[in-house]
Amino acid sequence: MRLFNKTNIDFVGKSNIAKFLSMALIIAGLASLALKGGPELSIDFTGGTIAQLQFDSAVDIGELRAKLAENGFESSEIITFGSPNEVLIKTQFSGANSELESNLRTAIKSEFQVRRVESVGPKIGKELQSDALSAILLSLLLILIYISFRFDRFYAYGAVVALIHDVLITMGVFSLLSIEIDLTIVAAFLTIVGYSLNDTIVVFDRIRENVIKHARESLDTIVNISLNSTLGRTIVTSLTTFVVVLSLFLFGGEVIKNFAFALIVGIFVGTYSSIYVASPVMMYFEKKVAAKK
Amino acid sequence: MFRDLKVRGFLIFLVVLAAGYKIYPTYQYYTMSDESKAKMSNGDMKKLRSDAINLGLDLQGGMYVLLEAEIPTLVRKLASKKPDELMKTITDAEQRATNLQTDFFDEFETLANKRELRLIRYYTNLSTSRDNGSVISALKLQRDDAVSSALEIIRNRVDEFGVAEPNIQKYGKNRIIVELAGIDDADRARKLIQRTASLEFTLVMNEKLQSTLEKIDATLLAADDFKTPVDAEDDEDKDEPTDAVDDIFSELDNATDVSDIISTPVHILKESPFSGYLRGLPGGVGVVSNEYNKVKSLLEREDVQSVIPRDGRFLWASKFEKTPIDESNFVEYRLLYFVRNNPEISGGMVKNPQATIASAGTDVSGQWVVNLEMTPEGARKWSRFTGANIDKQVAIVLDEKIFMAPFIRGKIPGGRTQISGFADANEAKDISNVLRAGELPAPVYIIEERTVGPSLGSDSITSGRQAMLVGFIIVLIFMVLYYQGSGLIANIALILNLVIVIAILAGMNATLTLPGIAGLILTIGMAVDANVIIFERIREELDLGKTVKAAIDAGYQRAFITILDANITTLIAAFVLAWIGSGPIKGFAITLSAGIICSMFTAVFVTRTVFMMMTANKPLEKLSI
Repeated sequence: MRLFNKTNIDFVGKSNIAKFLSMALIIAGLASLALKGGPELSIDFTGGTIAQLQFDSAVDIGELRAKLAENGFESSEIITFGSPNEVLIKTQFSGANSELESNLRTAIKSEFQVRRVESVGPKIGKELQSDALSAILLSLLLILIYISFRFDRFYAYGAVVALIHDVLITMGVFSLLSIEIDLTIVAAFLTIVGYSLNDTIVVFDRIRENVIKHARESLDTIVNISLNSTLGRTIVTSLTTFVVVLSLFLFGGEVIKNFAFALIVGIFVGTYSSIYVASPVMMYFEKKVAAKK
Repeated sequence: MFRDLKVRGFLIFLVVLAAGYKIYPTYQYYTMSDESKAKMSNGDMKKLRSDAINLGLDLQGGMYVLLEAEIPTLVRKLASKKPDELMKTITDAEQRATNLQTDFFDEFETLANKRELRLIRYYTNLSTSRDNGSVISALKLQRDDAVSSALEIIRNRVDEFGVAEPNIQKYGKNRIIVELAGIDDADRARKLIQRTASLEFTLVMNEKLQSTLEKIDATLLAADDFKTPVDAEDDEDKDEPTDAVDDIFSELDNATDVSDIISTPVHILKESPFSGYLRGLPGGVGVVSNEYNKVKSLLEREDVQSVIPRDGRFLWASKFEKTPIDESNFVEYRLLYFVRNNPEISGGMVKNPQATIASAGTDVSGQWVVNLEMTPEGARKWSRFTGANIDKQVAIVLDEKIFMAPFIRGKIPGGRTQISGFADANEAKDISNVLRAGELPAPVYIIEERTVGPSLGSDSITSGRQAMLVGFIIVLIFMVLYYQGSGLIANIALILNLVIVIAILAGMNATLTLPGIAGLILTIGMAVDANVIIFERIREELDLGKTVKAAIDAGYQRAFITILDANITTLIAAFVLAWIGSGPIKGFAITLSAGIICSMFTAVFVTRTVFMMMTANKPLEKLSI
């Protein structure tokens, strides 16, 4: 079976439409981020406590909220989690207060099982925040260095712009859908970085090869040939990766769901950017320098 | 060398063998029945468990706690003189360090130098050199000692708790990680770990209570930000609890708890906004459970704290108690005491704490108690103190909570003492345990905690396994449909890849976490990438009219560089994650990296070998791809 046999799509010619689309997505995401005052961070970064409780029967959130408010959990957020029998309660950090569970029991009064408690002090939250940020920046920097070394700096610019593009759009999507960013989401971002780059490199590699092979052709033509000849691989790999991540999203359980969702978004955006962002940006810098000479 | 098929085949055989050897203990451990596990000797079991892949706390259920020793408190405690300027400098340094995420000692040294504090004056015994720098270094050594001994003390406490293979380790300079697998009473573990275990026997100053209460009332009435309850619902019909009732406690079982509807009448609070809440109750003065939080927060107000006499402090009883108010109703209440700050006896003077059930004939018979002995110095002090304070109340304070406050009936020589008032057997045992292990040199606080119940853990395993199976099968089917015979070869490589990754995890003694499973699943999707790159390239070469053998050779040769570059960049991201990330994230990064590295072997080397075998003897006319 061959789905993309000898395609001849003018990817470079369409890069203006792509530019517009990318800008629109990024601006929508940034606008949402600006309106909400930055990304919605989980307790991993802000500090706080979440408790996941399981009841014998479906939970009436309103009633539960009232009960908790009466008992000193005024500022807690409560949502159902996975099944209607389970809730996630988010409150202030309670590390110093070791009586969280018994306090919840007195407050709620009906039987429940504590499935999970996560408590992060504000100090640790700040540290995890700067760790996550430095992890993202450090890996971008190392990747930039590696690509400059293996290819040249124009390719590196192209790759890194594509990566920033991917992470910005994914963050925007998360902000638009009001999904909190926690530690695992940051791990997902870095995986997206790796994945998208993987795609980009395969294309770049082909461009590098074709620049030698088709020395007389224009850069536009070379990039188009390369994108078309790697298209089959790009789509097939994205498909297999998408399938496993979708299966993780559907069957992997509630705890890992947002992580899987970030990867799903990332695969789409990463595949798109390796075709429509990385190469055009590389070409832009390449041409700009050529014009100066 | 690698052109020789036999060498290649043998190498693959070796790898598979080694992988099987590494995986076997894991297979054995997780398929073994509980019975045969029980039959094994402890040593064998321990070895098997350490050879098998361990499940992370998020999969088997358990508790991860990050503790921080409060160093500024230690530095305050170590000072031989405690003038305000020193205390203020410590507090300021602490605040700066928290806000700027810097080291406390650096801030302390800078501030001390700026304020021209000569630290040697307050820490005379610590350092032989007189400059601030050497005193700070000496204090740092003290910190290291304190954290190490805190670690030992926590280890002793946890050992008695009876968790299988607890992991307790130092993290950074003043932090301690405690990991307890498969724990079912997180609250108890939390208390046990955090308890400073400070024990004090101190005098209850009933004679100063009244005047202090009056001062607090006056302060609150004068405070701008404090409003007495409005007289809108000034109903005097509400039941007031009667003072100390002498009813029999056994009637409580079928009585109703009316604590919720009892509240102090507003007209009383208008005049006595604090003391109005306090009632005479069996055992002393206390508040009803539904007003406890309110009173507690009033007591914590800064202006209130500032009028409390310097030599004393308010402390709550360790637990709520119940008392009947009439035949069918009872209230829950907590007692409040005003005690002297300078304790007579402290934890260091106590020895041999033992939790037992009090023997018959005493007034606490049948209850859990902790029996104590005292050091000679403690016994002497205790005897003198009890002799001098007959008919007064002495409070036994553990971690700032009063467990009991008996009246002294006579001089107690010899130092034998009994503490009662525990909620249950566990509490009595835990307390005697922490008293035995000793007091923590500096208070430790939980700054991060992640607890997963065993049921969620097993749910995660089930769903993770299911997600992996579904994704795996779909990818296998897809590869065969899309690349036919060659797809089959890629599938063999994929299966082999998973086997080797699991073997590597077992070999590294790695822990499998939920994100780790996610990494494994992602690996399945990404590991076929190398084969996709190769196969697509071979197809292109075939299109150019090359023979099967030439196409395969060219395909592998050209694709290899691409695969290498592409995988190295993914590895960079994964390595950074493994380096900076903690716990579960690290698990994800490790499985992903292992998967990618293995895919280079399985998807390139192994599949190539299979193709080489196919084309070795007779040239292939047509390739199924």
